[in-house]
Amino acid sequence: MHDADEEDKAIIARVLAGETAAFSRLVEKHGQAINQQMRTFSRDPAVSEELAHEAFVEAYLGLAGYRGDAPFRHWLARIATFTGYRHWKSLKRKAREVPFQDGWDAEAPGPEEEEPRDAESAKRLLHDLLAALPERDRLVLSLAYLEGCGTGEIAERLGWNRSIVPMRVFKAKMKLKRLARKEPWKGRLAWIPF
Amino acid sequence: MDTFLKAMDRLAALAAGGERAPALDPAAVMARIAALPVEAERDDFPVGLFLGLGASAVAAAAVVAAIAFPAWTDIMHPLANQAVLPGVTTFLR
Repeated sequence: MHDADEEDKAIIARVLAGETAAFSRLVEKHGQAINQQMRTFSRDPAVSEELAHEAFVEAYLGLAGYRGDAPFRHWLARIATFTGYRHWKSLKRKAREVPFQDGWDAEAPGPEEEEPRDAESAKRLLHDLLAALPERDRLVLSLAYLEGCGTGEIAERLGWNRSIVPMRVFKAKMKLKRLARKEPWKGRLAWIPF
Repeated sequence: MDTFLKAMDRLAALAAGGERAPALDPAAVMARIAALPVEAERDDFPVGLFLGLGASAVAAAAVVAAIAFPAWTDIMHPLANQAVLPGVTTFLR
């Protein structure tokens, strides 16, 4: 176990002993990574920061449940993943309640485009495309494409058995491919030779 | 690998660069934590509520029984009159 993990455990012990202020050190250490992670769940920096705050509050509330058998940052990343997932769910619920108010943070597909050449346009296209999938597929592909998670990390984040991850990723990719072949995505992805 | 999946991998590799999110302000998170409602103590078990619900359930069952089995109440009334009421009266005295 690394020194950083030992330091986290020492801080957690202090927080659990009643020294709430020590939790701010955990926010200092892991805040940037969690804020970055929440960009997967919203492209709006204000929303992703709000989600990151929420993830830390949830981590604080559930701190007694941290068993210490995995590094704290992994446990925190898992909480953040579920915070983001709930955010998507609530956006979808709201969109269902107000059907004429189009969509959540997914943008309507634009006109025919060329292959993105910079990071921001690639991110925008991926976000928009993945947002059209059902949440579970969106989540698994967001972890793979936007966070660069491998099989092991996806399994850990989602609490899945490692053996089922490749199949779930494959199925989600196939759904994405079917989606991309239909309008309005077909036009926007015309640069991909199917 | 098919061309679509290759294109997606290219997009993902490109998207991995770009602007990084800033660090969080610990004070903002700590302010939220400070604003959380105080947790209920474990020994604050709602005894009154528990007893109240129990009594309501017994009363409801008695009403249902009285409606469903009138013969049962015909038997129970005299018994209640003979055994319970004198007991209660003695206790009150």
